[in-house]
Amino acid sequence: MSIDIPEPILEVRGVSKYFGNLKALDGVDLSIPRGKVTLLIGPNGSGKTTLINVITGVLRPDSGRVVFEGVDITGLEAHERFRLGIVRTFQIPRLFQNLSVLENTVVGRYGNPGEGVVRGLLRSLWYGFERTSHEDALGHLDYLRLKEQLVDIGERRPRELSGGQMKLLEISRALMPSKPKLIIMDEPIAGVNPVLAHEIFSFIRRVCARDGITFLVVEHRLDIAVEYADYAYAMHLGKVIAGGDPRSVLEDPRVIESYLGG
Amino acid sequence: MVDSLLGIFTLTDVLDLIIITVVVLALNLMAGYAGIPNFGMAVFVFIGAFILAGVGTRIALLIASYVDPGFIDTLGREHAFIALKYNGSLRDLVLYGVAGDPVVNRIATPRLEAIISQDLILSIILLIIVFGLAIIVGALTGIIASFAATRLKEDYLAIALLAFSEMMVTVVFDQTDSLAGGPNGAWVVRPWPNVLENAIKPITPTGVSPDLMIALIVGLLTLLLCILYAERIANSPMGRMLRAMRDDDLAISVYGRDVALTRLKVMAVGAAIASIAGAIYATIHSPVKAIDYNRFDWTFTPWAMMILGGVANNWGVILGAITIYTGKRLIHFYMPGLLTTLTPILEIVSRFAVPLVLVTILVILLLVTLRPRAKSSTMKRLITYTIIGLGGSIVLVIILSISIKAILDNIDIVRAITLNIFVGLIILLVLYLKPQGIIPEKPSKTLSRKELEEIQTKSYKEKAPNPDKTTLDTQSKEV
Repeated sequence: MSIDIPEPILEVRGVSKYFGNLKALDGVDLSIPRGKVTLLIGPNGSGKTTLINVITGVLRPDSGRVVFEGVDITGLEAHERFRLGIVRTFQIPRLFQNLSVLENTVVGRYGNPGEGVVRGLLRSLWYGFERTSHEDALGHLDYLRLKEQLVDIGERRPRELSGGQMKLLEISRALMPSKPKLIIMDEPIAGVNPVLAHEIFSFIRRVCARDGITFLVVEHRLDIAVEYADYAYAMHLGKVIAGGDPRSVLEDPRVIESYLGG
Repeated sequence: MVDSLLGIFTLTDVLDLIIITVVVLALNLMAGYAGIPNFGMAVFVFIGAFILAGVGTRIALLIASYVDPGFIDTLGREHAFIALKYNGSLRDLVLYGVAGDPVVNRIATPRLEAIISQDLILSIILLIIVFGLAIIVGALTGIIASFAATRLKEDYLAIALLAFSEMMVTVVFDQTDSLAGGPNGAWVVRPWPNVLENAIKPITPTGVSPDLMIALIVGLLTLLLCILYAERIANSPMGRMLRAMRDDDLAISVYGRDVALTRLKVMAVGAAIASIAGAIYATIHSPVKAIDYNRFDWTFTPWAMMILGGVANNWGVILGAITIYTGKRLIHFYMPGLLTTLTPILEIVSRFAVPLVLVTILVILLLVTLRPRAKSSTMKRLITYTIIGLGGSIVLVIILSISIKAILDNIDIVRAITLNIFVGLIILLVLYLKPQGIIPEKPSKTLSRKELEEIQTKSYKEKAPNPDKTTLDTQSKEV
């Protein structure tokens, strides 16, 4: 099931993924429109996270292709896909537990010239880059209400944060890469209070409009998410069952049935 | 008394401490920062020592026979069996005799050293070749070991590296005579020129060999360079990225970092450092025997030092190295006296040996079932094995106490057992009581505190009159 999108940034073509006998993805076809916010919904176990893992190279599909900006990236490693401009967050935040809150954000920016066993020694080489990343990181943390957590300049560790704050920290890290083209967020507002959840989505919209970054957001809380999305796909049992305008997808009888259980 | 500190530390012990500290710093880079559970440290140290004993001697013979074409003939005239066995063949002597044949090795090395150390140029050539090779071959060994690091999970990798190290050191080198004398070991040709020995003569205390003095100076310089390197890397973006990779390699690869390549680089650098340490160590502890580069002294002890001092903290691991090494020396020094005092107790223990062994085994089982809190699975395994190892050692001591007489006669065995227990106990206690070590890990100081505060105030100022944000806030309230 796929809708006609004139200039997709990402195309998933007939992707299947098995875990033993379990068919996690069953010939998934979908296209992500460039410069828009696309929502991916579906009940638990419908294969949303598996699909994201396949798109970002964390998992290899058993069949099918992933095409990003016209290039087949099915065989690329996760870090190579990032370098093409695909950034993601995780459903359960995967933070660096022994790094400070500030470091967790700053490390999200790739391309620091100081990341080498020799180049790390030459401070003048990376000082400028480091300063800019810290400025941006502090900006993001401030925006995401995490600045208060920076008592003693970010010496705090992620384990001292609440679940919602961890989520926010993960988002602030995802916003750090310098030139992302596609940001995939796996349940960004799970465990976040409604006011902040709305703010996060407005922020996503704003970044999308300002920098032309494409977003693919997996979300369960449709009441909040729907207003901010341009497109939506619904998955059920490893298949895409509906796609198109978010409201029409929500009203699709198959989607209602999959959510309510038929 | 000049060459000994408090009667416990001789200058040789000081050198050993310097060398083990360099090794611990290298281990900390690989395991503490990059999170590679390197249980194969011994092989990297041994490679450096082997280069000196197995390769340096051969190169020295080539150099010596080049400057003095009659060298082999002279050797053959003085020792008929050499003439008989090798028939003046340079090829055979280089390929086998000089390093592989313990008798030839013992005879030839002091002479080679005499010829080469006389000439400044020759000794510098040998020095560069030997230490250059130690760095290159060490780094290559690290790279080979890192291929496993890219494909295996943490706990399997630890075992794989341990097996790799064991296979290399105790199987290949200990069993193959032709490489470096096998179990007999091989004497090394020290690459120090006479000029250097004369230069440091004024500062050499009486009764101390100039070789030891040179090794101490070179070792100290290496240590200082290592501290400088480790600290600079730790407080650079590289250090931060390594710590991130250690905490979650999937997350860091999703952020564009090539985990396999980074591990390869870190393994190469760490192994090269360990290899240099091994080469310096070998100049004093000659002959080089594979058995001396065993897993306990060069893998588990550095691990214990790192864990005690504080993983991913360079100053911490240095402190850990000093603490444990001092403990080892104290045990070595006071063991005989202690044993005499303990004899009556041991006699009592020996009477109740059977129930005591049973109780110890029960305690081990209990501890293993109530597995302690630990961060990673490797640590958990480590703790479990430590408990088993420690308990096993206690059981062994109890069993051994049955024959006190025999123990007292063999003080070396008692020392070895006590050292095992000591190191095991330290690992166990630290992981139980203070898993982060004496000095815990700190954020990488890529920017100084002042610079960070400056950026922070700057970003506040910029953010304050941001109209974009205020509209956003109102919008969210409306919704």
